Amino acid sequence: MSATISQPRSMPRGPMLIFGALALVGIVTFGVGLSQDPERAYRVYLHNWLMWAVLAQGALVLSSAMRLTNANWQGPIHRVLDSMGAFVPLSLLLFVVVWIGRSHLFQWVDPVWAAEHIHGKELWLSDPSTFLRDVVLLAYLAGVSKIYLYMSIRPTLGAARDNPSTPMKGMVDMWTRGWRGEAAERALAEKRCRKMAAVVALSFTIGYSFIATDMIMSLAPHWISTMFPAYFAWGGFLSAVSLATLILLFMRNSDGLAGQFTESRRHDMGKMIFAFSIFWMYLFWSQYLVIWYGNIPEETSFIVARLGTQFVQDTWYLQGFWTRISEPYVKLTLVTWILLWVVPFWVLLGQKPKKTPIILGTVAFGSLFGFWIERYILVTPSLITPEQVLAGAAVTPFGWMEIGVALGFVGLFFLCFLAFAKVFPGAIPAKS
Amino acid sequence: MAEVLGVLKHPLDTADAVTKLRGAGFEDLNVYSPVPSHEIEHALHRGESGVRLWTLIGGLTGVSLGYLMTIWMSYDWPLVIGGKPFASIPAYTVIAFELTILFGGVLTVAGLVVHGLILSRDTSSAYRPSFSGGEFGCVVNCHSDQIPRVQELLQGAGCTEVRVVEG
Repeated sequence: MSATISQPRSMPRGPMLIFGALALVGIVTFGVGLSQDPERAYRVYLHNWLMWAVLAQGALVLSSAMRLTNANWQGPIHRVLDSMGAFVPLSLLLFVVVWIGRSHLFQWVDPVWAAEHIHGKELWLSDPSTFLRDVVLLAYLAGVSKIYLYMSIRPTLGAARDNPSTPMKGMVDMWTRGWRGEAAERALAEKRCRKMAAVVALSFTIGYSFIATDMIMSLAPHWISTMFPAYFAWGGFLSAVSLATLILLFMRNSDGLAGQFTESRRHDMGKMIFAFSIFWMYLFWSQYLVIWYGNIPEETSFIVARLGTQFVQDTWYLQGFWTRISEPYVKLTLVTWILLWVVPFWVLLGQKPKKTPIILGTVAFGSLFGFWIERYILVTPSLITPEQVLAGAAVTPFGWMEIGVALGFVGLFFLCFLAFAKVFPGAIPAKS
Repeated sequence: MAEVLGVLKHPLDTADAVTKLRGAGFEDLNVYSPVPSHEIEHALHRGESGVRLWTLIGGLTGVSLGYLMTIWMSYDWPLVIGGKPFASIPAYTVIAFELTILFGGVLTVAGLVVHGLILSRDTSSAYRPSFSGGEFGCVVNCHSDQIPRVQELLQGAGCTEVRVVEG
């Protein structure tokens, strides 16, 4: 590792400005949105918060999975994943806004409504205990993630520690207290991280199962599906794989990463997107099949609101297909099927597309965009029902508020990413 | 024509020897390896294996058969179940999915047998049982007058033994 890389660097000006501006756009849009239509603003906020919070945590889970399986093919990939995890503590803070907007999002926060409509569920869904539970879980996840990141990054701080002119020396000193020398630190980090990785992975599945139940399933409080939490959390994991691939492709010629994202590593990331997208569809189908088969209104309501009447009960006839596909939200949901499964499956089936940056990048971007729409589809139809849309309620995933807030989250996510990846020496690139 | 055998101890050395031989213009090579090795595979530039085609054909056969069989059966003996249409695609997807895996898997094994055992039957006398144990063998087919050059290259690549098998 060269001396320049092992020293903390200041944030790169260009990207900082761009992402800072995006974050500002998001904040301003959200502010204006709140004053004009708070319901829509909080809805959009929840949609984007879900997307990025679970993605950041999913990135750390992939990094943990690499440690747990003793993978040695990844080179700098797990450092990129660690840097993506830097958003996790911020996602905890951003959750406060969801709590503030709770009365605009969740019907059950009104105890009178809850007692009348979801009798029996008030114990689980009530204000503030539901939010308190989720905050505790998110704080726990942030704590676990921070410990994992500390253990993972600590051995790379040796040179920064020895250099008196290091910026942010206080923090570096704190993170390298009791330094044992680089070789010993690396060996220790390897051992410690592997234990911590198991904790991160398990905590993720438990934590985000709660978030999926409390923050998405409860938007339609009558609906239940035991498969849904796993389906949602897996989506977070897959979106992290897609974003990591995109970041690596973008940075593959940059300073310390040049020559690191080799053809065989691209092949491996492509294989992961391919395999995990099949598993995503598998989970979706497992959930859909039992709902379709059982045909209980309580369960089908969720599917009907998203996939329309075409795909339940007297389904899959060609007769009337096009009219029924024009029901609200249906086309959008089918687009997520295409972006998250059809395209990754057929395009990444061969070896060459996985290795070709432009094809792999396009599929990864499509998958990420697909997840953004999928998160929208999970949230919005529960709050603005298809009946309301047919009665004239305006709803679109591409309105100014939707795009503005989404850009804001992109900005905040990448500010965290850059802060971690650039300020911590050795975060990117890392010695493999 | 002659066959020269070099015996090596390490997969990376073997890959290195193959690269050197190919660099010197010797393309007719055969490597015996006790373990699969990406390095040797890349060095040999053998191209893609034909087994993948077997898997694809198996998978496509499985998925089509899974849907066709179930749909045909439900119209052959029509029974209304749970108010669903006779041909209920969502439920049959499970069968199609499983048959994709079954046929894909079975045909992959068949492809491995065909390509690995039948099509690439090896009759060279250079083979020895230790190549399935702890040693790597690199066999070069060349003209008799090229033997010294091949021997030199193999020795330079770290072979523990270099022998002319036929010549």
